[in-house]
Amino acid sequence: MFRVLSVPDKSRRAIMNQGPLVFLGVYLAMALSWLGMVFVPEMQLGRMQETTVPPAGGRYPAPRSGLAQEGRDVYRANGCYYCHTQQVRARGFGADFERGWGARHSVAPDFLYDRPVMLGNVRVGPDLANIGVRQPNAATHLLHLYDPQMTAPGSTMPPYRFLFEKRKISGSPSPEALKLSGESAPEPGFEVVPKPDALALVAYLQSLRADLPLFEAPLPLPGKKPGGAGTTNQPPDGTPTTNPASGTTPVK
Amino acid sequence: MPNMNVQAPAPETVSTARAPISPREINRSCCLPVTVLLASSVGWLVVASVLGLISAIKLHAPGLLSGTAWLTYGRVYPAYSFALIYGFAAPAGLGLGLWILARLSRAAAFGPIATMIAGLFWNFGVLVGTLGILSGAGAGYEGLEVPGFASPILLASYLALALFAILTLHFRSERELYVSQWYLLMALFWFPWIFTTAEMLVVYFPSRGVVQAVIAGWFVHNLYWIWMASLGLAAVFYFLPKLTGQPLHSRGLAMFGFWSLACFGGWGGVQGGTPAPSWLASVSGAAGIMMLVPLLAVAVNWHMTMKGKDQKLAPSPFLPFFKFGAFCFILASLLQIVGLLRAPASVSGHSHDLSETVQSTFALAFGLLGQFAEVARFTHYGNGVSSLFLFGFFAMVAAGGIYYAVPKLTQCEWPAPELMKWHFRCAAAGAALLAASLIIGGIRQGAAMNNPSLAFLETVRSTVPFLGLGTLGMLLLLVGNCALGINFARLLLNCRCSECCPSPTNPGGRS
Repeated sequence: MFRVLSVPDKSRRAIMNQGPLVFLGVYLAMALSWLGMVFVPEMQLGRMQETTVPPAGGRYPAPRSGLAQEGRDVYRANGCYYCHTQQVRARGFGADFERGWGARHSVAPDFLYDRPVMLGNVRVGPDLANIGVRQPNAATHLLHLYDPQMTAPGSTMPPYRFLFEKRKISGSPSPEALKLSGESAPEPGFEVVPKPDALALVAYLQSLRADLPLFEAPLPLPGKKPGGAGTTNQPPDGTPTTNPASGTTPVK
Repeated sequence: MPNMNVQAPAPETVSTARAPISPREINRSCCLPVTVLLASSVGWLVVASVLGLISAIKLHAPGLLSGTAWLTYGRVYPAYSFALIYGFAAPAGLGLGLWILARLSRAAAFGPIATMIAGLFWNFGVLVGTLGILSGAGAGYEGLEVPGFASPILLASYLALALFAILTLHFRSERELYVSQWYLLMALFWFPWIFTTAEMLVVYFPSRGVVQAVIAGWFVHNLYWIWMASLGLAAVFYFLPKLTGQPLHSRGLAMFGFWSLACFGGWGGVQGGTPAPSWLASVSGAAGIMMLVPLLAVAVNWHMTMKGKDQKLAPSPFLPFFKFGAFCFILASLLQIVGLLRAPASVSGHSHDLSETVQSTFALAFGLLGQFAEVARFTHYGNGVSSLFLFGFFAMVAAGGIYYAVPKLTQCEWPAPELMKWHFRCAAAGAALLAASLIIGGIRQGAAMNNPSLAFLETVRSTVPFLGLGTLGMLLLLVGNCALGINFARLLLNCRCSECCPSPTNPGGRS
């Protein structure tokens, strides 16, 4: 190695002829990017704990319910995150607030317990970070999954019929059966009921609500203080609507 | 190393150098492993094109094949992406890389049979992974779809392939390392590291919360802009001078481009607005813009190399593949950089501070493009850029390399040279159409999405015509890739393998 390095006029050429030296350089470059983009974020956020919500002092986030965690698996398995994001950008970057996709921008604590964290990259469909706030009704979610054209005409979302089951009504109709009409309705004597996967997925969608004010992401309400956990579901126009579901327990 | 001066020549040269062997013998040693890798890659290219076409149609006709869970968009699209990158790009890049490595090293491929087995094992891993994704076992990250049960197979076979490639390089008889060999060394080493990191910290023992997303983003960025870029650049740096008959313009410039890519290419994957510490997005963005440096170095080198071509050499039928690929690499990198641009947060016009002046100059320079990230983010723009990278750059370069290398490896000519021309026309038109429609459609989509007075469904509808054009592009790509597949299949069927692959029993062969 020293012999090679001691030839000044050809040194640059010669160094790049040493496989181990090229390897070492590549290794250093690799290790630096690993340190910067993997190790340091892991040090900074890897031990993050649940935080305290400023006014009421509640803990955030609460882990999702068991059914919602199963639903997250359905969401992952069917690749919902290829068309839906779960991140609201800060005010002034895009029109996420104006579209009513969230009362505040998304921050790291919102995803504390998620495995995997499905932030998404493309918005073929709308952002879902707060779909549980925008649409708390399970029946509407089920209809939308069964036939998106019924709830959102012109949508390019595919129907997820395989999450449902058409079966003969035996005895009294199931209370879970979809209320279908027109073309999509099953023939008389039959009903369409959601499979467990569909119910789990809807529970997950209902659990998607990142609307509690946090220290790093307060609710931007001009002239008003965030009024505690009970009045956090502010639509973007600023009119406070109280959602009793999120009143006492911070549900995420 | 004090004894190095005592012994002459250096011990490394004594232990590793072999007598140079003829190109024919090198080709023969590579025939089995490289042909298997290349043939499997072409098979996966056709499979990926079919999956890609299905998912492209589904974007504007969602009812198609929506009845079964296995064929829903959220599974077909990742299966397409996985089959394209791991099924096609990896074996094509590694197979060509192995051959280029052996040829430049003037050394026979090390352990051809073992390499072939590793290649077959890799294909098994890709098959398991693709079926896993279709069955709903995808890992949950775009670009890191590979199910946890398939990744050990892939990693083990990659390590074996890389080991044999590096042993081939180690036992080289030509001491001088050419640019392509640097890039191949980088690609061979880089992938196992990022893949292990991502699998460990995202799939097997997930970090907390968004750290998973940060690492997955870092992985995908490295996968494209270091690993696949290196494999492709190695081929371009090998074939451009070879086919034009011109020596590489500048080795120093190539070295500069190589090291600047190594320095800046790995820092990326977190975009502005991600719910992660914002310094990550800033660092990613800065490194992304610094990618202009290697890009410029590479582009100038290629341009100067090609400038004086065709004086004494008949134009090669393979050259268009590399020219188109090189052009698409530069274009895709530029579009990627432009997609990252954000205006500086606050630039005051009243300050006389030097740094402020510099900042406002930059703001002026990027004035038109400053808000581009705001429009491009969360739209089809990103997929358009990666399509340009995958089909315009990587697949083109790999196809050119396959067309050049396979006849030399198997000693059999392409049965239908006309098909090659049609492949080029269809694939070039398809890649251009697919990328252009997604990029332009994405910009329209982003502009509509940032205008809150338009209903969201309007933004969806505004993209549909572009997605239709994208489907047409995907169809052209499928036709072109089928032409390659048919040509390759006919070549293999007509070829007398006993002539070209004597390596198992008769490693020396005739000289």
